[in-house]
Formats: sequence, structure tokens, C-alpha cells
Amino acid sequence: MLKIEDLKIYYESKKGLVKAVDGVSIEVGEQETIGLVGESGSGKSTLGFGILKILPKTAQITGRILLDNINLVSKTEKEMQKIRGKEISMIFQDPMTSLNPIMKVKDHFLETIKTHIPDIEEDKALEMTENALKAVGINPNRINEYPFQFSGGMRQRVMIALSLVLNPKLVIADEPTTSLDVIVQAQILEVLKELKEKFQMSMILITHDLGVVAETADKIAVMYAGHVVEFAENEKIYYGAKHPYTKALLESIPNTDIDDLTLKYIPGNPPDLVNPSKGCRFAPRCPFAKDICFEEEPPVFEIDGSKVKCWIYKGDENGDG
Amino acid sequence: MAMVEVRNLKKHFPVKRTFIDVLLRKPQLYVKAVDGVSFDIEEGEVLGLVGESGSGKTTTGRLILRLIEATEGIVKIAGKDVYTMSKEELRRFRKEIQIIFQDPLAALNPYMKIGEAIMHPLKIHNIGSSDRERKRMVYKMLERVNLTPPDEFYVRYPKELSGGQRQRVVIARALITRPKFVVADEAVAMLDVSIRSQLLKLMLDLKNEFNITMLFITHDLATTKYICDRIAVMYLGKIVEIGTFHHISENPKHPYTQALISAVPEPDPKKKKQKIIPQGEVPNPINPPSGCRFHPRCHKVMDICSKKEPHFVEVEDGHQVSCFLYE
Repeated sequence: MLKIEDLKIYYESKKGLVKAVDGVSIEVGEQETIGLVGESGSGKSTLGFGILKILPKTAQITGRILLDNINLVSKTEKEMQKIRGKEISMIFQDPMTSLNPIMKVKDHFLETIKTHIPDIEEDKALEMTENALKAVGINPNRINEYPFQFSGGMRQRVMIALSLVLNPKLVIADEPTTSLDVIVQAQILEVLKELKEKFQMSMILITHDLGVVAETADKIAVMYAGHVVEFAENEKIYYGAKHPYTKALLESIPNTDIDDLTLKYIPGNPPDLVNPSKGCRFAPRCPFAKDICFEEEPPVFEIDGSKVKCWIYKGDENGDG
Repeated sequence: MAMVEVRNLKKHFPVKRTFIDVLLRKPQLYVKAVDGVSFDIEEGEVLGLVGESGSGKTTTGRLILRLIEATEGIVKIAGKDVYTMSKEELRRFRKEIQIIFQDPLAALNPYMKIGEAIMHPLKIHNIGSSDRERKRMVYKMLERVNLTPPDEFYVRYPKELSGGQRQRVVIARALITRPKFVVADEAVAMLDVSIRSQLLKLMLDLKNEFNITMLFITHDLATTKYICDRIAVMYLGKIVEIGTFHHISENPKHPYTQALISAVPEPDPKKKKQKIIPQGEVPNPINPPSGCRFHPRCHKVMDICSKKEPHFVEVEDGHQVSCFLYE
């Protein structure tokens, strides 16, 4: 349904050109949930925003974003406005800053609906609003309240309802639970899972927490320093991670298993994206790094259905490489 | 004698009244952020204080160090009553009690070189006979927290460091006076997973090396396993359960603790946990629910829960819970 091919997003900054997303290719199937996982600065949010082309003016975007075979990269801003909210919508991390504090909840919905369906009747629009709110577990009689009258978790539910009101094909959720407490996070993840099935949509769930997507995502794309280093089905990532970074990331998550007291971590820090090293970007922190890893950027190898960007798998691939 | 003794600690913040409220003679309201908290921490022990936002865990940490004044209660550290000390006594005593803050960028002065920032407490407390000696101590500390080479890091500014490195600076500054007791307030919460474990390991090593007693405040139960000997779970200003990590994680008794544990997302898709997720969110601490404060969200609620406050009951050796199910 959505196909991203060799997408590059570079920013102009004082220090130089930041290669935030540097040649990413992934696909999102019909009704599929992709977990886009990475640490701060990995480019995961830039990629998410890039799909909707909500980027600063200095951003340069090349490559292809195909939504049902239509390339979004070549669309104008005006054409993008028709797609945002209707075809693809977004759930932001912090609902307090993304909802307008002086607008009633109702008006957020009416604005979105009327932008895309200008001649809709008020009653019909209100009915759509109420249905969307009901779907996320908010009493529709709260539509005349303001965002501040809602708690953090309830605000995030409003955001989710707002992103669904026009029945988009794809929802991009950028760290939708990061600013929430664990119990509220579990509630929201439950809501997202239910809605995905009810509305039959695809979803890209951006998160830094591999735990959050374990139960929700069908496939996982792991990002590191602007690259997708591994892209595979959920269980292949959690039980058979191939890329050394994915393995290290999984090992460094504290689990609640009482007998497992080993504290593993990845030495060093992620690289600077202004002047990334020419080889594999994880090589300086990688325990398996060979000479070639510092010299040449690895291609993507396909191993047992997993796509891995690592030299270790050269020669093992079946298919393209 | 315990290193830290906390007894019936309370902090009620007055709610700001508008002019109209005063005219209408509306009563003064209070946010009962911490409402009767008691515990001990033995020498060399790490107590984890776990709770959601608004549970009062950060306020508790600040009250113990008397960074804010308590409404009521007693805090003794190394046998000394923190609240009967004079300002001058407290200032001198601060050498022994330190805090590690959550956000290193906010906790460090952006115009101060990191070497100077770490040296600052030495100067305040007159430790070391000369600047040269103090500098040597700072170098040693920089090396200890793995900011090497120390002469290079000494002259850098906070903004030139990564998040993990900055948190190392904050740790170095807190520990350079060799405190007996440290409050770590969400010390690793802002860091990425791959960096978080590095810092936890460092804190654990330093704690053992310097024999530090610690209050480790966190919202993340999973990180407490590595560093905490015991855990206290807070909800709406009160401790609801306290025990060893083993007690809390393997045999949680309070329905709130059970919910908190089952809500932790685990990186294991097959481990579909029997989730008990309570409805709604933490209620307003200005007007907390009567009786047990968790009763409106509790799935095991009984008639008595809204009428009386539960007492602490020892369910097994060293494992106490405040819930009518066990009274």
C-alpha cells in the first residue's frame, strides 16, 4: 500500500548537511502495523514526518514515497494538504502541544472534516465526531470541552479520534505513549490495537521502546543513524534478530525477569549525522566489525525473509543483495 | 540504626486562590502531594521509590533532603534530625547528602566548564587544601565516571557533551564530596536504552565502591531490579506496598502494584501477560478518594475500602502492604 524507496531527507544546519534519513526503503502492507524503532537521532521521526512532508523549509527530500502507486515526493504542498488527514493522518507525541488550547474539542474535528469535505452538513460532521470519540472511549457529551479539561491519557485519545475521523488508509503515530505513565500507556496501546482492526487501516508506530511494539506490530523496522538496519516480521526480530545493533538493543532493555541480572549495554555513542563515517554507521560500536565495515557501506541482504544491512550476511543471502 | 529514617512525612502545597476566591471566602485548598510516608533505609542499601506522575515520589525525595520544607514529619539521616538543624548546620551537612537530577542539561550551568561544575561542591564545603589538590580530585573523579582523558573534558561546556556524558558529570558532581546518602531522581529516565544501562552500571559500581545509601526514584519498575535492594510503591501521596524486589515483582500483593507490573511493556511478543489494567487515571490529589485512595479504580474493591484507610500488614518477612484484602 505504501512503498518507500531509497528515501533521503537532508537538513541544512549550522554545522553542515545533516543526513537524518539516508536511503531508506520499506513497505507497509494493507492493514499492516509497522513498528519503526530507533534511539534519539536515529531519524525515525524525520522519516515519519517525511512521509507526510511535514518538514522544515531547509529539508531536501529525494527518493520515492508511493501511496497506492502515487509518488508523494513530487506532490506540491497544496496537493499534500488534501492527502494529510484524509489518506494519511498523524498522531503526535505530545497532545498538549498539538491540540489548540483555545479551541473546543468539537471545533478541532469540524475544522478537519470541513477542510476535506467542504459542503458537509453540520449535523453529519457532528455525528462523525461523536462516533470517533466513542470509538476511543470518550463520552461524546464532552465535545464542548477544551483540551485542558482532559487528562493526559484522555487528550491522547482525543488526538487518536481526530486522526481517525476521516477514515484514513494509514495512520502514523509518533511516540504516541512516550509522555504517558505505564498504566495509561497500556490503555492507549489497547485502544490503538482495537481501532486498527475496527477501521481496517495500516499503521506506522514510531517508538524508541521495543517493548511497546512487541504486541502491536506485525513487522519491525530498526533504524540507526539514518539507516534502516533491519526490517523483518515481528517474531523474527524478537527471537531471531540478525543485525548486531538489533541484538544489542534487545539485550540492553531491562526486563522484569528476576533471575536475569546481567546489565548489558552498547558501548560508545551514536554517530554525528553531519559527517557520518563512510562505512557501516554502527561499525565503531559493533563487536563484530571487520575491516570492510569501516570502508564500505553495507547493502541490504535478504536472509530468511529478514532484510539486514550488515556485511556479516554477505554470501548468505537468497535473492537480491 | 538505619541510615535514613522517615516518619509520617507530609507535604501539603496550598492551592493558589484568586482574588475572587478570597472575596467569596472559599476555603484554602491543599494538594496533598505527600501524605504520611514512613520508611527506613539501612546503610549501603538502595531503596527504589516507584510511582506514576503525581504520586509524590519526587516531592518525597526533596523533603528528605529538606530542599523544600515538610508540613509534618521527621527525617533523620545518620542519626541527625534534618528538620531541627539550623540553616548553617544544614548547609554543612549537605556535604553528606546529595541529589542526582533527571535532566542534566537543566541541572548544569551552561556557562560553567564541567570541571568547574564538579569542583564547585569541593569549594563550597572547603574540601582539599588548594585549588591544585581540588583539581587533582576532579581529574580522578572524571576518570572514575569514564570521562577520559580528564584534561580534555575538564574544559568542555555541557552543551558539547552527549546526554549520557552530561549525566556522568551530574553523577561526578554529586559524589565528589563522598556523601553518605544520595537521592537519585529519575537519574536515567531521559536517556536512550543503549545508554541507560551504561549509566545504571556506573551508578551501581560507584554505590558499592563508596558505600552509598540511596533513594532511587523512578517510574520504571524494570530498572529497579539492577540497583535496588528494596522497593516502595507510591500512589497518590502514600506508600501502598514495600518489600524486596523479589517480593514486589514475583509476589505483588496490592492491586495497584499488580496493575503497575502487568502494564510494563516487555520486548517479547509471545509473552502475552494477563493484563489487569485499571480504568481511568490517577485522581486529583486536592480531593483524594476517601478510605483507600485506590478504591475507585480497584478491581477487588470491597465495601470497607471507601470507608476506612487500610493499615500496613506484614504479609511475609519484610514485605508490607496497605490493603484490606490482607487485614
